Amino acid sequence: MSTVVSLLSRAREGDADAFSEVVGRLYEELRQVARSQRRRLSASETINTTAVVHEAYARLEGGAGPPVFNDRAHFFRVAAAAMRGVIVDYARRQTRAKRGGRDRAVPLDAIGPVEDVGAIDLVQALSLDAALGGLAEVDAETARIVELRYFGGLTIEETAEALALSPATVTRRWTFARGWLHRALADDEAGSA
Amino acid sequence: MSDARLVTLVPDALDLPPESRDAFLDRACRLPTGEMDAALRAEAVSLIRAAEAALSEGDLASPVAGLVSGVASEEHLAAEAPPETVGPWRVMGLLGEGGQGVVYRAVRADGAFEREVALKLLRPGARADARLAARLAEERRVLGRLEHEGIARLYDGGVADDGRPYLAMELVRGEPLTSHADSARLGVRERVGLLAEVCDAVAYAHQRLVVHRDLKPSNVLVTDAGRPKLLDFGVAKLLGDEPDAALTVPGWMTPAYAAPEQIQGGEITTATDVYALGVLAYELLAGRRPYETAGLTPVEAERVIANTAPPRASDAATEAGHPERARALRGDLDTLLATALAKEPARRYDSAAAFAADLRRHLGGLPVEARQPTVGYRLGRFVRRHRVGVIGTAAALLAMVGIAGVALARVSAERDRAETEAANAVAAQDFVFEMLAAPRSEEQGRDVRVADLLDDASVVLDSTLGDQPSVLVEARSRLANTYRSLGLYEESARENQRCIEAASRAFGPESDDALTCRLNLGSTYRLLGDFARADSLITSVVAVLRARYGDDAPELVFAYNALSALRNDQDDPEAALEAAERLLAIDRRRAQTDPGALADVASSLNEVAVGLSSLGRMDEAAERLEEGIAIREAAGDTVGVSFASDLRNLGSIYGRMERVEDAERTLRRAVQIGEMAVGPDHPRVAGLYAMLGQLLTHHGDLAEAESLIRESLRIRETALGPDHVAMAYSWEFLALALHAQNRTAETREAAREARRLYALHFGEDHQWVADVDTLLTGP
Repeated sequence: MSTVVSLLSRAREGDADAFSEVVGRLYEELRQVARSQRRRLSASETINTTAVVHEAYARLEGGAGPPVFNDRAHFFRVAAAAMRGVIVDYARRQTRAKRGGRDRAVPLDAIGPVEDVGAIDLVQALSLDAALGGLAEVDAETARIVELRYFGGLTIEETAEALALSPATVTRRWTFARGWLHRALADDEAGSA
Repeated sequence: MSDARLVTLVPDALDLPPESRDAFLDRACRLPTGEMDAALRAEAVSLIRAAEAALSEGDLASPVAGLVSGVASEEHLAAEAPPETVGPWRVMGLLGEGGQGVVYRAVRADGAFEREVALKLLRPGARADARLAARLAEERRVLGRLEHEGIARLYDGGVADDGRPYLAMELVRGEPLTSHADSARLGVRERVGLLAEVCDAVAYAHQRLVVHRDLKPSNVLVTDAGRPKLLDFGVAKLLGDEPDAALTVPGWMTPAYAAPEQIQGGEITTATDVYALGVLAYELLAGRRPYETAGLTPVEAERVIANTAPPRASDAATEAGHPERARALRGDLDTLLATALAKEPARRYDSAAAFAADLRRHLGGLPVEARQPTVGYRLGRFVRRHRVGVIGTAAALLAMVGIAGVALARVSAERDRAETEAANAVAAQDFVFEMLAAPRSEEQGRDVRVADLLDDASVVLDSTLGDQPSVLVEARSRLANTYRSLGLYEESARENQRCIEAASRAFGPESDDALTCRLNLGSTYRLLGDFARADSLITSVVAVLRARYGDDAPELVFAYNALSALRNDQDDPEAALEAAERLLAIDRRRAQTDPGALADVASSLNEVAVGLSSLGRMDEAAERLEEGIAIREAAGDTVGVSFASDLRNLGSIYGRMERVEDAERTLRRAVQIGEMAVGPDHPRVAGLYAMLGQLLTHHGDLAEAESLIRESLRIRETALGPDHVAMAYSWEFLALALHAQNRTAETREAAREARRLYALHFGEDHQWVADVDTLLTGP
């Protein structure tokens, strides 16, 4: 099996499938970690998402073997980019499923407790993904900050570390990004209304 | 407006109190000339307003948390909203939900397959990982070859977009075995008859090294026609191999039907299915199961199943309120069931076939063999010693062995030796089965190549079967055909040679057995491109058989078939057509009395069409093929190699008739079915790639054409070697595809290879050499 590193170098050479494979692998890790945590919990407990994400990242990074990334910053960037892929993919499928609007095949009480999935704003995730290209034209680094913070789920400090910036700079750029994206999404809504 | 200064301007302004921002912006938004940059200022104001609005809405929460919760409950979501499509299948409705996953009704989205299927979307087992798709493809190939009227067909399988494996299976409408028997008020004899049929289906799969692992009434449906049909063959294995999965994954296995070794994490073997058949039979006949495990914990159930003997079936029937059945069960049937349900796998019936035979002996009033060492199982002792563990690769192989040896059986069917031959076939099959199934101790844990296993089998054959010549010949013939199915033609020729020697020694050089082996050797030489040897072998066999049985006797079908294929390859279409027409006439006659021969009619129609097309009689050729395809479609035979080959030929003929769209559609369907039937690396699929590539060179996308043809070259070179005649076709097609792109140097390189091979195989003055020369010398 190709390593994440070799997949990424293939991706850089233009192999579109290579990056999708990283995304696919991260997704699979997330599913497995989430499912195994879900199984350990009682129905009333909720899943610790931060722990799940960090474990999935760690598994993507190298699992049981030696770490494959020699610097953590590089790994965060890759993980966030992959996570963006996972989220967009997931959001697309979910919105499609909702559009399908089929009757429930099985009553919910027959299949056990269901996590609240309303926590993810699917439309927002898809819109932000689409708007990020425009932001990158203004300032590529700011777009990367959004990718790390929003899609990667990283803190200000982790983002700063990944991009070798000061936390203050990340905060200021993040503020700019909020404004830019807010306007882009509002324009979008106005445009499609 | 994308001024990078905004990135700092906006947060700087926001850091200031609102009343100071205008002055700040006035100072900061200046052109290099010192004038006010009005556009920049307006943009900054707009963005500041937007940022304030955004910040007032609170933090922008990352969707990661929601994603994780969503992923954790994904299986529930799947049940809630069926996917619109899964792989190439369009979901039409829900059929049910079980421990293994959800089952939908589905049809092919592209209409390439008319019937509705049961589409099973599996819960991924603990072993779901990146290799799942590969493992699934491997299993799918094995399971897809199970073609038996008592087994629901597996049509397709793969991994859905969301990573869950799916299987598309024959949609069977029927009632579970036990409830059918009760609602139809079947008597004991009818129930025994049904059980024997169930055993037949299981035996068929076992001969192909597929173990069901989860036999239970809900997996055996009885159709409206009253015939039993087994569902989910081998599916349990797809869900994971962990021995303790039985107890930890609910629904994977039903403890009430599980054999002791299955519960205790022992080896799953064909004997495991024999045990489950025993439970099924017990329940069907006695009206209750041998062990009552309801309400027990898994550990308690395990103890009961592993340590206690079940009550006699007749006693159980009395207890269950069926005194009349109890009378019928006492004696033979009690013994039969106890044998099937023995704790130790080695004490059970050697095979499902042996169980079926005993059930039928009972029905026929003959003495049953339970408890006695059974006939024909001297070889079976091997199986017991090694306890057959199923290896994936070996299973793939055995699936092909099933096709082998048919020639012998068919030729002899007309004579009174049919019964002996059938027994030989069983014994030979057991032998190959045993050889493949017994892991070689020194290589345990390693992926043993199928070819190595076959080589081992070949070496020990003489010493093992030397005293049973008919079995030896049968086994050698099967080995030879198996090598051939794998594309290992050299090995196949070697094995056929040994087969001839064995048959000549035992029955004489002109015996039917020896002739069949010679015919097979001839066909193998043809595939190797050695036409001189192929010719001498095949024509001599044809001559002897004609003299012996007459020109149009059914005994000649294989000989004519081989002859026709050879003449085609030798580029002698008149002779090829003549042989094919004879073949077709024989098969049509056979089909008048034997509907099973319709598939042969379809095959011979194909042969005839090939001959007609070589003579330029395209309309007739297309008609023959359309007839053959219609026959196969009517019979539901639309997933195999033969169907792919009919489609390929029809596609090619459409192409030559300039019916381009028909041709492309037909060839794409052929590629799809071919890949499904033999896997994408088989030389047969290479032929399909080359042909589709050739069509696209003239009428389609040149890039796709070139890549298809290059793929065909790669597969053929690996499987057949660089000097095989088939390489010439690929090289020539490649040259044409490159020529169409005006890539002169590469065109010539490819054309030179094609020319070299055509000259090598057909001689310097052959038309094809001249054809290729135009590519070498042209502009």
